Amino acid sequence: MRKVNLLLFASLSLLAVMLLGIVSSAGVGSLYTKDNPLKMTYGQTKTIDLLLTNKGVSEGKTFEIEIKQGSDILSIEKTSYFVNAESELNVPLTFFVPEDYGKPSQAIELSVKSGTPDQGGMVTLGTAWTTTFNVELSVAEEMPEGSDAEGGILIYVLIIAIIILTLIVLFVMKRKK
Amino acid sequence: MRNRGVYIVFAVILLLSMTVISAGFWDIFTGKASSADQNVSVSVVGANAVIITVPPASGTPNEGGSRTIIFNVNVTDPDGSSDINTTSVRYEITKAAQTTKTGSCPFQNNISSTTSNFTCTTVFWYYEASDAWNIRVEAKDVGNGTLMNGTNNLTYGSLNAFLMSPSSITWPGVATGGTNQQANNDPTLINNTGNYVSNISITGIDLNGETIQSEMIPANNFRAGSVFNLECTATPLVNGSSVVIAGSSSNPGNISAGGGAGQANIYYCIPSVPLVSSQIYSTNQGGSWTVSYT
Repeated sequence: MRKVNLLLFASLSLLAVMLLGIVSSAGVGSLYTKDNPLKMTYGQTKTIDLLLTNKGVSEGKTFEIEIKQGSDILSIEKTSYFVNAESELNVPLTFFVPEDYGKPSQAIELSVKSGTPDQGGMVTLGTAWTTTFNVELSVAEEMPEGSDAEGGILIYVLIIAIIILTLIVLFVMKRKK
Repeated sequence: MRNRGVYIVFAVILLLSMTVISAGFWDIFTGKASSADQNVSVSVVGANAVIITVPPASGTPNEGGSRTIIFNVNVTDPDGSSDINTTSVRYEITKAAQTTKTGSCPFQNNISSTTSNFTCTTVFWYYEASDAWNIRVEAKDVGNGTLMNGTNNLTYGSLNAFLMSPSSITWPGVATGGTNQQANNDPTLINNTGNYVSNISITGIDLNGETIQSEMIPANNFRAGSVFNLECTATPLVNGSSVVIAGSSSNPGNISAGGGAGQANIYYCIPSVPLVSSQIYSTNQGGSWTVSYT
């Protein structure tokens, strides 16, 4: 009986140590940072990727994404994404800036959390990640004068004018005859 | 008289047409070689140096590992692609305070009679700095031999990622009114598996009694710090609010290199145990504390 209790105690202790040793590894990545803003023009729509990564663990993880800043120009298809173990997932972030959007820039802040099961200690530690960057806005440039497109149109207009002129001259000559 | 009028009209049309239509079109009738044919027929090694076109490149870190980034460059020689020295194309990628990357760019194919395509492959590690790096590609031709450069930027993204262990904190049996009670399974070891540069923050949550749930140990009874044995005077936590742990750093670096690179430790203490009932207190009811890079 004493041996059974001892064995049970040893097993529980081992389980507790194993539970405490569970590690949490994951993250959030983006090409855009505070020093590398996303550049857009008023009226433009652009989609970029937010990278969710779940490495160094043997189980998949569910990420909950919350837009903390910039929700007036940023939309996301879902707020919850599952990433398999040892995998990455690119989540599309779609930006639309209305023509009459008054600001020259907009800060974007995304908070990403992943649920943590009870780890058996007094205090369970969860993890969260944030990604922040700015969207810099400008007015779309108009096509400069004398551009290729305008030049092409001018050539067509000139050719048509020549044809019309020729027809008029021939018509006048025929009338004289 | 009538014929003279017709001739004048045609002469005017011909004159106007010559100003707007490419000379190449009329070459069909004249038999004169076009400018394009002249380029193809060059067989003498050229006097002209090469022109290098480097597009912008980008990549995002791979958590705890490396990311291969590939970019294609075009090398143009007005003397013809056969005059390009195809083994001379090399890249150099630099950023202040970072290790420079160099390598060769093997020939892929000719994309026109004067331009060849080369593929450059480089490897970025998870801990290397984010944002703009400078790409410089060099190449030369056979005839001229002058080494020419082309430049652009490579944008390396930011990765906020870490590996944390253990995922819970425990204290030995503490007595009400006790002082400076240090956790008995710390530190929490935080390995930076990305390249994010910041402090470490913790959002504390009040601990509730597991038997009498209405009783609690408020989060502000706990302190956390990055230096062992100084945690009892370190940063106090706040219930439900993210608090930056003073002196902490995400410390990005090559963890494999040892010496603490890419690592941080957090220690915990209850400086003054409140006068509460004797029972187990935990985060089971209120929810876990949250560790993050700020």
